[in-house]
Amino acid sequence: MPRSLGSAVLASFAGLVCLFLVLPSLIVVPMSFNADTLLRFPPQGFSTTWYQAYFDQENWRSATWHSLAIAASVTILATALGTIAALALIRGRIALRNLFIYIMLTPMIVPPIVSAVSMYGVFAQFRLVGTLPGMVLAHTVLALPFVIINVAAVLQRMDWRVEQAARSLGASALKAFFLVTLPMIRPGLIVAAIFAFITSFDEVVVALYISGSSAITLPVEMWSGLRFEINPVVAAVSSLLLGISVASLLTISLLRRLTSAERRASA
Amino acid sequence: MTAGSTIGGEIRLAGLSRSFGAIHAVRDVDLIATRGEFLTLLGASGSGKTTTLMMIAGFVTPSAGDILVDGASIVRQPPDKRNLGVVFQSYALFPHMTVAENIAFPLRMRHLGRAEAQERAQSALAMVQLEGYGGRRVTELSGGQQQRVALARALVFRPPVLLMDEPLGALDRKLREQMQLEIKRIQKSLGITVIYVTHDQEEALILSDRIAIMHEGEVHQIGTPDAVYERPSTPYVASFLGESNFLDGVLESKEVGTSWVRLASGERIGAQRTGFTVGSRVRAMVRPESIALVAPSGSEAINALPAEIEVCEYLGQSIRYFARGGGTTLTVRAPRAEAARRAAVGEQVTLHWPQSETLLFG
Repeated sequence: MPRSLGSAVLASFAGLVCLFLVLPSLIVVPMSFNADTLLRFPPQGFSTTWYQAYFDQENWRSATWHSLAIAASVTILATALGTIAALALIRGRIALRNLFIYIMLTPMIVPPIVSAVSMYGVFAQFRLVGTLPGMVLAHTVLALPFVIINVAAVLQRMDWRVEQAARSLGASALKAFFLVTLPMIRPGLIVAAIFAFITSFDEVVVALYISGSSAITLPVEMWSGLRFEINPVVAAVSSLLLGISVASLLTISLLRRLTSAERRASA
Repeated sequence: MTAGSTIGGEIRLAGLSRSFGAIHAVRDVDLIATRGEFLTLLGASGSGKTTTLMMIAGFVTPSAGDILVDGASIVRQPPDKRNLGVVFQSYALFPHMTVAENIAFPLRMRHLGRAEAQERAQSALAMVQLEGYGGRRVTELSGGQQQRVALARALVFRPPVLLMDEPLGALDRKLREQMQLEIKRIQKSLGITVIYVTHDQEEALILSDRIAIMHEGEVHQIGTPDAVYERPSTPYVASFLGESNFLDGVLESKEVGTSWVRLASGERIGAQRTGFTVGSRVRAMVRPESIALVAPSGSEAINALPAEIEVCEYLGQSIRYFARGGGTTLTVRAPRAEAARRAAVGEQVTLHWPQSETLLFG
C-alpha cells in the first residue's frame, strides 16, 4: 500500500475524531441564534433575542456579576498561594516533598461531588454557604493545583544562578524575588492565573452546593435554566462562555510560544 | 571617578569544610589570597572547587570553618551583605533587563544616585569594550559579549574580591583565549583579588598568580604555576597537571646530590631529591617533554632507559611516542622542530633525561 494513501486515511480519521470532540460544543452557537422559543437544532430562523434576554434579565446579570467577582478573587488568591506553595516545593528543602505534592494536588483528583459534599458540611458550620467569600474559598481550593503545577513547571526550568547573581549583587532575598525571579516567571504566572480564572468561572458542581440562593453563579443559573424550563438563553450564555474559554486558551498558547521563543533567543 | 580605583582585598579561608551527609565535599581548606592576587582553584569535577567558591559567595553554608575578608569574618552574612563580585559560567544575566540595567543593578541596590550610577555603568561597559551596547537586550548578545556584561556587572560596585566559577566554560576555544587575556588585563588594571574556579589546567597556568589544586575536597598543593607544574607535591597533582610518567621502584642508594632508584624491571634511574630513606618504596615521575630519544648506547649513563617505540603520534607542534621500557609504557613528547630524526614504530631506542627531571614520591 502506498505510504501517501495510508497517511491520508490516518489524517481523515484524525479529522473525524476532532469533529466528534468539537461539534457537540459548537452546536450551541447556531442554537443561540434560534428564533424559536424552544432550544432545538437545527435552528428555526435567525435572531439575537436570547442574547438580548441575557443582558436584560436581572437573574442573569447578577449571576454574571457573581461569577466574575468570584473568579477574579480566586485568580488573585490562588495565584498568590499557589506560587508560594510551588516555590516551597521546588526550592525548599522539605522532608516528605512528594507527600506534600500529592496532598496539594488532591483537589484535582478527588471527584468534584465528593469535594462539594465535604465542603458543604464544613462551610455550613461557618455560615459560609450562600456567600461570596464561601464561593471564593471553595473555588480557590479547586484552582490551587492548577496554579501549583503551572508555576512549578516554570520554576523548574529557571536558572537559579540568576537569582543567586542578584543576591551577590546586593539584593535581599525579597528584592531578588520581586525584581528578578518574578519578572522571569511572569508568563508562567499569567498562564496559571488564567487557569485559576477558568477553573472558578466554569465550575458548577461545588457551586451548586455552596452558592445557596444569594451567591448564584453563571453555571448554576444555567443549570437551573435547563432544569426547570428549556430556556434558549442558556444557549446564548453557553456561546459566550465558549468564547471566553477559547480566548483564554489562545492567550495561553500565545504566551507559551512567546516564552519558548525567548528561551531560544537567550540560549 | 573611574572603576579603576577598586582596591583588592585579602581573603582567607580557615578550616573551611562542607559535608553533605557522609560525603565530605570540602574538607578543611586553608588558604589565603593576598591583595590583588589571582588565585585559581583547579580540580576535576567533584573536587569541591565550586562548593568552596559557593561557600565564599554565601550560597552554600559551611559545616565548619571561617571566611575572612581583610580580617573580618563574613561567614555569617547573607550573600547580599558580603559585597563580593560573582561571575557564573551560565552568565546569569537578567533577561528582562537591558545591558545597562543589568550593570546598574548592583548600584541600584546600593542606592546610588541615577547620574552616578549611569556614569559608572558606562565606564564599566567601556572597561569590557562594549561601549554603545547599553540599550541592547542581553538576549541579543553573543556568549562572549554576555560574559563581558556579567563581568562588568560584578565589578561595577568595586568589590574587594571577584569570584569566578568556570566563567569561560561555555565559550569556544578561540573566544576563550581572547577572554583570558581580557580578564587578566582587567584584573591587573583594577588590582582586584580574584578567586577563579576551573577544571582547565592550561587556563589556570595562563591566568593565575597561584594555583590551588583540589582533589576529593582537599587542597593538595598551592603554588605558582611553575612550582606546581615542576615540583608537584603529590602524584595526583603530577598526573592532573600535564602529562606524566610514573616508574615504581626502591630507593637503592644515596650519593651527594643523587638518589638511585632500582626499578622493578631491573634498571636503575637517578633522581635529585633525597627525602626518602634507603630501602623505601618510591614512585618516580618524569614529564614526557623531559625525555629525549637517543640512539642506543652501551654506556651506563644516568637515566638511559632502553625502550621500544610502540606508537608514534604526530600532534603538529610536537610528536608523541609511547615507548615500552622500564616495565611500563612511557610517554615521550618531542618538539617537532627539534626532532632531527623521527623514530619508527618497533625501533629500539634509549630514553634519556637529566636526573633533575626525576621527582620521587612516597
